[in-house]
Order: sequence, then structure tokens, then C-alpha cells
Amino acid sequence: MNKNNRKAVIEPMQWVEMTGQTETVRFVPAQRTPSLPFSFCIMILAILLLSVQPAGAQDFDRLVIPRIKYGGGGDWYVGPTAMPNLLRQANERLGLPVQAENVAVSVSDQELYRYPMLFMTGHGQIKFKDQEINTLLTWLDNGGFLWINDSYGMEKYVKREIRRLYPDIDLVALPKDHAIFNQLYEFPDGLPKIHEHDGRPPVAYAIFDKGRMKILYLLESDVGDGLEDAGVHPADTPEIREKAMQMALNILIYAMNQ
Amino acid sequence: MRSILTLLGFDLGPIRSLDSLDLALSWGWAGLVLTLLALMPLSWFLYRFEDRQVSRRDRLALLGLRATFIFLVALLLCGPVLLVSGWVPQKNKIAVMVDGSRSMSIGSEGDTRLDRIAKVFSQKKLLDRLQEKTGIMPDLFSFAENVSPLSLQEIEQFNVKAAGNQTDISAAARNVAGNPGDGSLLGLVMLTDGVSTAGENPAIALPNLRTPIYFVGPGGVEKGVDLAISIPKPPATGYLNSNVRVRGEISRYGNTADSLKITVTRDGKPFTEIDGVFTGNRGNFALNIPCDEEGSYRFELAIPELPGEITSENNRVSFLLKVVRERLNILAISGEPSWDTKFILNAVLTDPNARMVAWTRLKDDRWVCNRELKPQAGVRQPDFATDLKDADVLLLRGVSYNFIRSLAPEIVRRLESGNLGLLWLPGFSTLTSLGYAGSELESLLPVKLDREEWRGTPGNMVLAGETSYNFLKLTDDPVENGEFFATLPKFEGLFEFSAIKPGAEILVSSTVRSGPDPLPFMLRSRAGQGNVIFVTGGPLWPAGFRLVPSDRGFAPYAALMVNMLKWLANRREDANVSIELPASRGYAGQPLNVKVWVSDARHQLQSGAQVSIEIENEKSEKTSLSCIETSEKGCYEASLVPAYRGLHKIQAKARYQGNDLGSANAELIVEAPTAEFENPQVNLDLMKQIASETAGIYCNADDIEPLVSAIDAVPGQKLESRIIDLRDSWVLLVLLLLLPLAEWYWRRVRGLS
Repeated sequence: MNKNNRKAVIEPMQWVEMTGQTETVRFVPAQRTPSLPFSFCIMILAILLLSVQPAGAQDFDRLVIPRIKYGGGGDWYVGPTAMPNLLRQANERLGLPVQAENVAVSVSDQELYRYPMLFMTGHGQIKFKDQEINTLLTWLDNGGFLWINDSYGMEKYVKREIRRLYPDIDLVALPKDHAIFNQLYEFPDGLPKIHEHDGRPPVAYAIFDKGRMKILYLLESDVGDGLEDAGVHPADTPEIREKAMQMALNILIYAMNQ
Repeated sequence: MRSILTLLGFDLGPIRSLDSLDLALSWGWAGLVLTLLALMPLSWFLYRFEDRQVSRRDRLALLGLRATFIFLVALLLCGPVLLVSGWVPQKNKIAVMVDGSRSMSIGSEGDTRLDRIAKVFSQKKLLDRLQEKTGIMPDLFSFAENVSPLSLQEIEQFNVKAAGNQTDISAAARNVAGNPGDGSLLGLVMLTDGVSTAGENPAIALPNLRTPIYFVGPGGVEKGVDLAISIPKPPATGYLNSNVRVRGEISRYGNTADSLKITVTRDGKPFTEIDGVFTGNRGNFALNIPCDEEGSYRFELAIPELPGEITSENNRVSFLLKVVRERLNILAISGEPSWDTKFILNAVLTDPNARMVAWTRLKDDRWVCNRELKPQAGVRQPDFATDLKDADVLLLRGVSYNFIRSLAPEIVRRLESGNLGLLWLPGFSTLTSLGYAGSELESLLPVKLDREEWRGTPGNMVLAGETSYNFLKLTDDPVENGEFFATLPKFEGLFEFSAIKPGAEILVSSTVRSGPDPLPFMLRSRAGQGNVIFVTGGPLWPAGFRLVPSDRGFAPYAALMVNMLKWLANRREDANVSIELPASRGYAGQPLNVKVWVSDARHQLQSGAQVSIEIENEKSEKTSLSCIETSEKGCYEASLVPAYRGLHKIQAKARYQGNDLGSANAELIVEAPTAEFENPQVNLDLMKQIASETAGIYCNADDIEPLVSAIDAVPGQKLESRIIDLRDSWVLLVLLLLLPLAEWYWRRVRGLS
């Protein structure tokens, strides 16, 4: 992904800085303000629809997958529509209540423990402070799941930081018949190739600790880019984007089940 | 006035002097006015036909007679009554009550509290003085748990023993004051040490009594010392390879030692020694028992006995601990992936003996199974039935009834026979929309599904008071435990239901809809021998995510979940007959309800069985009891009153239509009740407070004159009211006849008729 492409994605977004204790930032799509009669009709329609449904907990435990705002200079903010798109599909295909927003969180943020699953992506350098390593380790031990999507050029740094987290545990390449490739959707050939980078085969690495997968690192696949809005990556056909979405949903389900 | 009324034929009954006299009408005074208004035009109409010349004098006389007659008729039509209030003389009574509880035996030999009280009666001193003052011979009673009448001879010989295991001062006073018989109670004279160990707090219950209470304390100076140890809630079950924590209390009286050694023995052999430290006159201690071997163990905790101690019966305490090999198999069925299920299962797997299978629906034709935290590949058809066979606890969350319809009879049957527990968590949909309303599983719920509404109000859990459920006790201190629940991360909302079913119990309340009726967060219902825990709101996972592990090195969320699921598992030794004891410890002389659950060979709860229990004490003496069937299907009950201390073996046998259904065994440790010695001091403050609030007084046994002077000896009388119907009066009848006759006579002599 080149810089111009990335700029083309960010420009139509409004950047919302959350003030206060948290340093969470959100990207909210810029939208035209609907006309008043149109809004009124929509509101009436929504009220009518809600009134005929039994009182359920549609807003109960809404799923959010924030991205990690890491240090080191890498572009942690790349692909802002990826997680909102995944969450929308989780809502449509699995019926999960979601908060389909692009949320970012620092490892040092107190809000970290509101999210049991984190997404990390970008190109290039990643660097965690010692204190962040400890925090991340506790977060993972407590039940957190970290999905790292290598958009390009992260391998060296990701492996270095994972080694700092788990010096005694090696990354394991998941075989094709691993359950993560056979959750909601079946991938008999293992991790799908979404973006071509260096011509290498896609690999799903994982850190298993105490019988549980804690970190999933996708290399040479770039599922994250495949989740972005149509047109962001012109080379991504609808079939490729659907494949990326299916794999991402499998990852989400796997994370919620172990 | 009374004589006049009697002369007029009115019966005033026992009323001797009148207090008030009122006239009232059944229809009210308005009725009289309306009746008059109706009658006056009629009489006016009749007068219009008077065509003769009538003198003014005659006209006035006739008018007066007619008007009086009409008024009298109208008055009688309105139901006139006389309300008479007056005083009725009463026979006075005084009740003298002697405390016969064991705390009255405190004191040195020959000078116990009861001995000092007995001196009050020697040579009939108290009774004679009361009789001289009031002219009444007091009614005599002894009290402890119950009240018993005493004869004069028993008092003269002072045949009262300090043998009662507990004292209920409130019930005793109410009982005597509430049944005065035919008379007026001048006062209750209670000869007691003020130690009340059962029933309501007398300081709250007795001030409302309208009878003066006069207390006579034992007086004297008590030089006794006492050390006591107690375990308020001893554990009954431990799980292999885990620890059981026992919490207890020590107390001292008249002793200056700041600490003591508590010797712990297991089955009579030394186990360990722990230190007990006093803070003031009390102290808490905790004992950690590692459960490293299966079996039933008798633990005894003893503290040193001091020379001249008031009683040594409270210097040791024992309990039975049954260590069982746990096997906690959990089957979770979820209608959608959720963090709640994930974190509960992660918590459960912190226990090495737990096994877990979780089925999660992704789409109607796609399910994924997770065994021991290892998700499997997705499948089209789930196979719950096989996993349910091995499950001890079933966890349901947001799953449509259609998917488990075929399992419902098996779930109900296993729950009722006590082989399965059910944990029900809220999902994103209502139970009605998931198809549970009217289903076989609806009967298991502790709530009614008539109305089911999501309240998206964040709130905290509220655990009020000291819970009796061990899985809800995450810290030793009840206050700290309540605070712990209150400070758990807030839940996002909860479902509100139309009503809680009868028999259901709220385990944890919430801050949603604060006030006298907050919405419940966690409820428990019972199905036969099985238990159901129903959580109305969530999510729960933030508590697990943020607190496991915590800085305290203790995993409260995991402990809560594991212990709750173990409790739900509710494993029983015998499939057909099982014994349920309220506690593994009983007290000599105090009744204990023993429940026996009976099911048939198909594990269906059995009604109409003949159930008997046999109890064998340490002296190998056997007692047999027949059980009575209760309102719960398959549940039989008998009341056991153990006579001796020590280990009691209980065996229950059940028969149905001549066939043996099976038997079950249990053990019970029986101790001498020590409640009477927990606070051995004479409770002067309590007695003085109650005496002051009921217009009585407190005095010591060595000087009863203040009491005799304070008792009111005025002859008793009570105010009584009667209602006299004036229509029954002959005077009014005569008047009613005389008035027309007088008119007739007047007309006759005046030539008007």
C-alpha cells in the first residue's frame, strides 16, 4: 500500500479526539446531514420497528475491536475502515451486537481492559516500552487476544516484540487443518492470500501459552487490507475481499471461543 | 344515671360507673333531617282539610302533638342507639418469671446466679411482700427457650434448674403478657441475668409491650473467668486437592491473656496449632485445611481450660469435613459467541479437576465446539446429547429452545434427581423470543416470563448481609465481602421480569431501581434436588478480565465461578436415596430437620414411599424415626432431637410398594449448645433499658424493696362500651301510643272530631 492510497482513505474521514482520561481516538465517516423531513420519517419508522419487537438487549455487551496505538514510528492508524467493516459483518452474519467504530487504544491506557481483543497493523517499526510489555503480558494472561496483521515490513519488529513478551515461547506456524481455518468458513488451504507483497506464501503464526492461543500474527496475507472499503485497494476484487472477511470472522469466532 | 338507665329497661352489663353517654343514629343525623322533610309535607297536606273554625290555642296544641309524633316516628325510623362507655372492675394479676437457662449456672459453687435468685424466694420473701402490697398471689413461671408454669410448692422448694439451652426473653415476656386470662396484669417480674440468646432482640421487641416489666438481677460480684471458641458456620464438604478455609471466633471473660493457642486435632490425632489473638474481649482466627485425601474427618479445635473457669463446655468445638474427589464436567450451550462464556470457561479451567465442553451456534447450520479451551472445526449438527450425559452442570446462554427441545425432558429429570445443575446466563434476546415461554424448561426458571424487559441501566451487584452460600463468600469478612461485590465492574443492564416465582431466592441484588424493591441480579430456584442459578444481567466478563489475577494473588472471579459451578453440581452418593442435613453439626436437645430425597430406578422423584431413618450415637444406642412426606415431590422429613454429644451415624431407608428403593448414610456431629456462655456477663444495660421503657424498674436480688414500692397496687378496671338500641325501649313505645291518643282526646273534648 502506498502513501497516496492511504491518504485517499483518511481524507474523507473526520478525526475525533476523545478527551479526558483516555487517549482513545476514533475515525467517524464524514456524512452529509440528512434533511429534516427525511430524518423525521426515519425516526418514526425506527420507533415503529422497535415497538413491535420484544424488549431485548440489543445494546448489551457490544463488540469493539480497537487497534493498538503503538510507538516506534510505524503507521498504526492504517486501514481505518477495516475493523468497522468486520464488526458490521459480525453483526449481520453472526447477530452480535457491535459498536462498528474505528477505535484506537494505547497499551498504557487504563481503558485497555475494556477490550478482550485487540488488532494491530501497519508498515514498519514497532516499539513497546518496558512498562507496556508488562501491561500487555498481564492483559494477555488475563484472557486477552492480540491479532497482528502485517501490512508490510513489520516482521522483524513484530518478532522482536513478541520475543520480549514471551522469551521462552516460540511462534508456531498454524497447519492448514487448524481449527481457526474451519470455524464459520472453511479454508482447506489454510490462510488465504489477500495481498501480494514479496511473493512469499502466507503464514499464520501463533503464540500458545497455557493451552490458549494468545497472539495470532498473519504474515504475507494482509487480511486487514482486504477488510477495507471497496475501492481503497483497486486490486482487491469482491471475491478477495469476501475471502478476507471470512478469514477475519473465523479469527474473531476463534478468539471468542478459547 | 346508671340507675335511671336500668329503670328504663336498658341492660348495662358489667359496667359499674358511666364514663360517657352518646346518642347516635344508624342513618346518621342527615337521615333524620331527610325523613322529617319527607313527613312534614304529608302532615301539612292532611291539615288542609281542617275546615272548622279552630282557636289559636287548639291549633297550637294539635300542631305540637302532631309535630312531636312525627319527630318521634322519624327518629325511630333512623335507628337511634345509645353509646354507653363505663368502667368494669378487673381482677389484678402479677407474673413472676424465673430464668432457668444454663447461663444462670454461671458463678462459683454454691453461689451461682440461680442460687442468688433463689434467696429472693426464701421464706416467701418476694411473694409475701408482693401479696402484702397488692393483695394478690403472683402467678409463677420459669422460662428459657419456652415458658412453663410453676407451682407455689416448686418455688418454696426452689425446684428450678439452670438447664435451658437458650433464653428467649422476648418470647417469654410476650407469652405471659399476651395471655393474662381473666384479669389485668399489673406487671411482669423477671428474675434473670438478661442474657437472651434466641428470638428477637428484647431491646427492640419489649418496649412495645404495654405491661411494666420489673427486672431482678442476680447481683453479687462474679469472679469467674471464661474462654470460649466457636465456629459459626463450619464447612461440610471439601474437594480433593483444594483447601478449605475455616473461620472462627474466640472470646474471653475476666481473663487477661492477650492470646492463646488453638489446638487442632483430626480424628483425635494432632493436626496443627494456630494462634488466636484477642482484640478487646474477642478475636477471630482462620484455619486452612488442605484436602489431600478423600474421606470423612472429624476436626476438633480446643483452647486451654483455665482454673475456676465458668464453664469448660465452650472450650472446644468440632465439625465434620467430608473430602470428596471432585469431577466437575460442564456443558455450555450458547446461541452466539460471547465473551461471557469464554471468560467463565477460562475461569473454570483454573481448577485442575474441571472438564469443559462448549457448543456455540454460529449459524443455524453451523456450530463450533470447544473442548478444554481448544476450539474444534465447525460442524453442521451439534451433538449435545452425548456431552449432556457426562455433564454435572449445564450452562445455557442465548440458545433457542428449538435446539435443545429434545434434551429438555432429560435436563429436567436429571435436575430433579440432583445429578445436574443449571446456570442460566442472559443473552442478547429475551427468553420468550428464544421460545422458552410455555416450554418444559420454563418451570425451572425462578422468574415468570409474562413480562420480560431489558433495562439498559448500568449497575452494581449488591450482596446484602452475610450470605449463607459459600460460593458467594470470597473474603472472610462479610462486610468486606459485600464491598467486594459492590466494587465489581458495573454491568450494562439486566432483564426485568413480571415476578419472581414462589420459592425462588434472590442471591445477589442490584442497584438498578434503588429503593425498597431493587431488581435482582442473581436468583436461585430449586427443581427437586437440583439447583438453578439464573443471572438476569451482564456482562460478567469484565470482572474476570480485570480481576484475574489480581494484586492480592487471589482470583476472586475464578473462585466465584468455580465454587458456584461446584455447588450447582450438587453430586450425591446414592442415586435413589439421599440425606440432606441443614448442617453437619447439631446441638444436643435442639431439634434438627433431616430431609430424605427418594427417587425410583429411573431417577424420577418418588411420592408415596415409606421412609425411615435410624440414628446411632457414640454409645451405639439406636433410635428409629419415620419420615413424613413433604409438599416437595420425593422429599421426606423427620425431626431429630439428639440427646447426647458426639458423632451420630444416620441411615435412611426407603421402600415403595414393598420394594426396597435404597438407602443412604450421613454423619452428624452433635455438640452441647454453648450459646448461653458466649456472653457470660450479666446484661445489666439491657434490663435497665427495658425496665425504663416499660415503666418498670431494675433491682438486685439482695434488695427487692424498690420493686415492691414501684408496683402499682390500684385495683384494676377497664373501660368497656355497650350499644343500646332505643327501639327496644318500652318508654318510646308508650310515647308512640300516647301522642295519637292525646290528640284524639283533645279533639274529642274540643268538639273537633
